Amino acid sequence: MDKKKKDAVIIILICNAILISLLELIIPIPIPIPGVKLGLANIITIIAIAFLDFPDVLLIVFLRCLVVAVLSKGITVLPFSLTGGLLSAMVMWLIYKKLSRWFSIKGISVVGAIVHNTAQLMVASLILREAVLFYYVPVLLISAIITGLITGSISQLTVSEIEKKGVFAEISQ
Amino acid sequence: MQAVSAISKGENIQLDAGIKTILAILLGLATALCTSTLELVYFALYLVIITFLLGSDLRFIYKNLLSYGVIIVFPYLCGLGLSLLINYLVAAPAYSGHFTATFFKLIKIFFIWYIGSLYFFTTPIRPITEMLNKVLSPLNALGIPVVKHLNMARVVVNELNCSVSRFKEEIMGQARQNFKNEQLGIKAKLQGLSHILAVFITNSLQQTDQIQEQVELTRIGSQYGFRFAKNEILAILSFIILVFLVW
Amino acid sequence: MFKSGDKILIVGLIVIAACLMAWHARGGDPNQHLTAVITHDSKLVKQIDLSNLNKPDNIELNEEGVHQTIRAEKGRIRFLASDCPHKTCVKTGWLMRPGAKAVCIPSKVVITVVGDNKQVDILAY
Repeated sequence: MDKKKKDAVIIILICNAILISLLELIIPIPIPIPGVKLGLANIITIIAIAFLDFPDVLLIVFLRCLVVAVLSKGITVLPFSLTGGLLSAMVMWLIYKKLSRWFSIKGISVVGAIVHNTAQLMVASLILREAVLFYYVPVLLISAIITGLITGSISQLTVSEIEKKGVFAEISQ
Repeated sequence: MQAVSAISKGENIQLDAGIKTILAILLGLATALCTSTLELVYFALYLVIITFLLGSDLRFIYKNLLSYGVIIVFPYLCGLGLSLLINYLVAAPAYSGHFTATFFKLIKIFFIWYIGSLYFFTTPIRPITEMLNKVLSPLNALGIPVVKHLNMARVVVNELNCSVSRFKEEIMGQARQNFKNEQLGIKAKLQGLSHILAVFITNSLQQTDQIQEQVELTRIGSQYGFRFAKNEILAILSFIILVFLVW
Repeated sequence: MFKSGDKILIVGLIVIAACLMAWHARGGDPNQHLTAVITHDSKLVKQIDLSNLNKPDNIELNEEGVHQTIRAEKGRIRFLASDCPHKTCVKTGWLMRPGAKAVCIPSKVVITVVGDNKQVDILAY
């Protein structure tokens, strides 16, 4: 895939990630705990992991967080979303590339959700210097399992459909 | 004074983007280093004044308070509530946390949040991107194509502005249909959603050519002109006065 | 649909979450060095190293005409019995964490548990 085309693909994927997260408002499986998001943007992250290289994955996550922060004028969420997003992308990439034998995309998604949420919790407790946030951890684990499984199932199906359509193979020509 | 006359005329004060950025960052740092309630009051007053000078109003402050409360304060309170609940259930004494200190921190963090919000709200995107372009271009030499990334971010923003409404109608409409359908089970619903998404993504990936065009079109110029006029001097002066009061 | 790693992961996580909840309920970080400080009218009466207390100890006090028994065990301390009218101090129960306090107003006796945590208030006034 030549560079310019790849850049275009990256841009498209970032837009998709941001648009897809709007769908979170529609899916009627709300968990009544604050700060628990369905994290649908991770579907795109997983697609990127499946079809693109590691630097591209990081770039997609990075620019996505940046654009969302600027557009929603909530620049202070950046440290949280960046740490969570980048760390979880790295871990997911590792597991996908090395441990695919034992983990399906569903499991990878659960791990991603855990890493993401834990990282955000760490950043929060660093800033506030309060350990009270750690009471959140069991809640966080359970919700990560649920959201991870949902997002993971969707990602898994989407990835296989995309693979079947051979889109990325097409683009590489 | 020009500031007062500006308010009375109902104009906004426009500041040069570079100076504004530096002041915003310094203001944020100063807030972080704040150590007493009195200083926080000074900061609060200062922030309210510049809110009005830059053209916003009380509603803006209110909106920010609301979103900060929802996104940051509420989860913290829930964690606190959870810990208190656990303590209560096991007949142990109440959580002896450091409430005052944390409350303090939460307020400081709100100020920083507000500074960021105000900054982005009152500065148009063009000058920011041009300034960033100029400032970060030395990084190019280190091998990180920052300028290209900035360009890509710009294209993303443009694309989003175009496609949001279309997306909302088409895709979200389909998604709603998918979930309203009572007959299908969870698994089938998820499958339906994945199908919708897969189609959406594959279609979007067909548009690489248009996007490449866009990338060329939005080439960010380095026409960043550094402006240093009365407004800027006033702003810097007011900041120095604030720091003096606070020190 | 689920691979072996997935199943182990999810089951493991649920187990960890359950353990964490039980641990928090029992009293948090077991690695803290806990000391109990007993004061009467803000003056130090006795200081007990709770973490290294191997044999439970009963302390009898008789301040302001109120007879009280304080029981100290490994890692925890409490007012066991008291002659004060409301017995709030006794009802406070076991003190197991740094910062935990039990107060008896009639007798002016206060038990405070102190940890060695450097995570001090950022009461920067």
